[in-house]
Amino acid sequence: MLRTLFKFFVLLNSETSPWQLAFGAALGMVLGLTPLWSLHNVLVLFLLLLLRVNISFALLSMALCAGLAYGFDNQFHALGWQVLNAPMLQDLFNACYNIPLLRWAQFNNTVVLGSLLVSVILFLPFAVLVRIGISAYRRHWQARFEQLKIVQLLKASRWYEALSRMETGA
Amino acid sequence: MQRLFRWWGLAAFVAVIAVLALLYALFMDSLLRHVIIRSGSTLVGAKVDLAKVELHLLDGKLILKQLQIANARAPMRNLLSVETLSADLDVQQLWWRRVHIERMQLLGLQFDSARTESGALPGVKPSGALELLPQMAQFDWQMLADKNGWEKLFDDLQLDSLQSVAALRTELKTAETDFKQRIAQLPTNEQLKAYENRWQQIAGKAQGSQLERALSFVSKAKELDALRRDVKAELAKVKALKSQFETSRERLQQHYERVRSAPERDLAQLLAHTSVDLPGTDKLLSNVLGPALNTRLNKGVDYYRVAEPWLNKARIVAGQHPDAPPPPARFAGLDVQFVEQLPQPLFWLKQAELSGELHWQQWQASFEGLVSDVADRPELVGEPSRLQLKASAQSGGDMQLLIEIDRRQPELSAALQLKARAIRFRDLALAETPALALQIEQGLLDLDVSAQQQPALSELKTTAALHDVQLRMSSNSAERFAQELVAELAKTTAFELELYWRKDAQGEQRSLNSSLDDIAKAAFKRVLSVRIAAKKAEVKAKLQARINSELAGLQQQWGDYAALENILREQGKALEDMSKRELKR
Repeated sequence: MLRTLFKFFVLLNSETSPWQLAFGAALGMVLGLTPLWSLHNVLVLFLLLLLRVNISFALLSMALCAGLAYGFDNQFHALGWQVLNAPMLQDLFNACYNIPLLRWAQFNNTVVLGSLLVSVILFLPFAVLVRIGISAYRRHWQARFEQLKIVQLLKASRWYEALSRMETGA
Repeated sequence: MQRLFRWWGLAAFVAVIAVLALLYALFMDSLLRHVIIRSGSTLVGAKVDLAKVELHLLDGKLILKQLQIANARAPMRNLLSVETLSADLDVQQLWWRRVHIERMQLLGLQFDSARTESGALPGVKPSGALELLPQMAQFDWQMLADKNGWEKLFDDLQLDSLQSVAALRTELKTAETDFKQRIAQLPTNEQLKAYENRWQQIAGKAQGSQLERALSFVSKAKELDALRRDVKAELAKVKALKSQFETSRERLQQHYERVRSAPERDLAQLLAHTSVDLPGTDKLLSNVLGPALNTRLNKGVDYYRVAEPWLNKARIVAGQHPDAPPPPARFAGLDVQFVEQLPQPLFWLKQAELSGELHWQQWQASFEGLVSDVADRPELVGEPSRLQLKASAQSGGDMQLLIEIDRRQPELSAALQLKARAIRFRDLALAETPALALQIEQGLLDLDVSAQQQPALSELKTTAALHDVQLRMSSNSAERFAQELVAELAKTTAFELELYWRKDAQGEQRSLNSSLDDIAKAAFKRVLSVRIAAKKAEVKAKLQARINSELAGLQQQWGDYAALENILREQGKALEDMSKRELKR
């Protein structure tokens, strides 16, 4: 049982190329910035599992962005309100309002729409930034990081040993 | 493609959805229970307890068990409690995120039931009570506890005699001022002197020859006639004023004599208990009943207050400015409404059947009722929301309640009618002050309550008729007078209460009338009269002494007034003498 769980954990972390990490983080950002129990997050979850992106990184990004999102609710609301009341989009929204699935997607909620728009707009720039960050880390900081005593202690632990064996086995 | 996709991810996605579905099946009911408790508590401002929730989405069935909504103002009581609430939902409307309840049943509904633990929410204060009763002059019941309480009462009586003294004083002052002004228009001393000088000139010895002296005499006679005419005209004025003064003085003198004999009349009235007016005695008992009545009325108002925020919930429509930004919490924000092809309310309770037990002051009745058409968009429903309730007891008595709330127009309007007949109750405390406690041990109640709320008008009218009443009254006053009064009042077997409250553009009106006040006032007068009769001579002397003291204060004023007559008399005499003078040859 434990072995199976470890295997699953390794699988989750098997996509480690910079772009896989970056797009994982970007999808996590969408999950974190928008209200979690929204219908569009089912699609995000689907993409997260189907595409070869790093899921752990996505979860980490989700946690960080969810913390940030608390401070931006008023701004999301203001943006959502402006968009939902834009005269040129009224016909579109009226049509969407009469589709049950989109009602469940809560497109007419100011915070949901505002946060979704922000996360979609920021998706690619965020992914690119993360990609650059990871490359820079690996080039300049990874070696120094692995020299730290705490990292060496962790590496010496049984858990890390078991993980490495699993990775090698996978 | 292999590099882009991990195909086992599809299976993982299905597995996640399956896990979520399993979690929903296992925990949805608990989650819904917490949501109902949390949102209900926020709405009501007190604890909401719910034992169990069962949601069967596919069948469109929702069942709540043992729901209790606490009363924020009385935390150990429930506003209402329900054994079982079952609702049949329209599943099709759920796809549109609308909650339409086709039919709801509330079984075992009770109002004002006891709680085992406090329902107060920490940090939440209940809204203040409405002041539905008028402010009334206080009667000092505590005064009856004094040794000579009734004598002090007597000192405060508004007696005819004292009022007459005040009237006399005013009348005297007015008359004095009036006559002074008119006397000022009569000939002054200078004018009298001028007349005298004219007379002296006319009466002076003539000079010259006999003919000249004769001619001078004729001319002087003419002058004398002219002088006499002037003097007589002035004399007529003075005489007229003197006559008016005498009439006025006679009238005031009669008034004075009436005041002096007033104590005799006052005593007769006291003994006949027809003139006892003390501050607060008009509403002797209404004042005492007021606080308890206000509390009971506010209990009814509390039910409306709980529903009010929901009744007046604003809808945010595209193009309308929101009321306020959302609170900084996740899943908040505002839902903007757009145009629907087939508009429907988001929430619509079409029909709810109620049944339960009603308990009030040991009157127990079973009731049935119907609630219909409660919706967030009543203009789409086309009907006002209604509550109809009928209760009847095996021991006798019945009650009917009809409430109608109409929000189809922008301004809310509501109406309430409550009729109760022959409610046999026990142990109803109407007043619990130490000075005067009043409890109805048992009685029959007929009650009519009507209330309406319009855009510019709020009105409440309550009429209660109590009969076959057994009253228990007590006072902590040691004074026999108070105990006699209480004993008299306790003989009452029937009385009525009427409360009226109205608020409109002109302001607020409140009135509380009770036949108990008339009964109390009559009893009060009877007891006071008996006391006065027993000390008749003493009371009369006291009254007379008071009057004499008041009249003594008028002496100065009376003297000033009487002095005016002297002025008139002197002037009149001078003018009279002057008019009778003759020339000497």
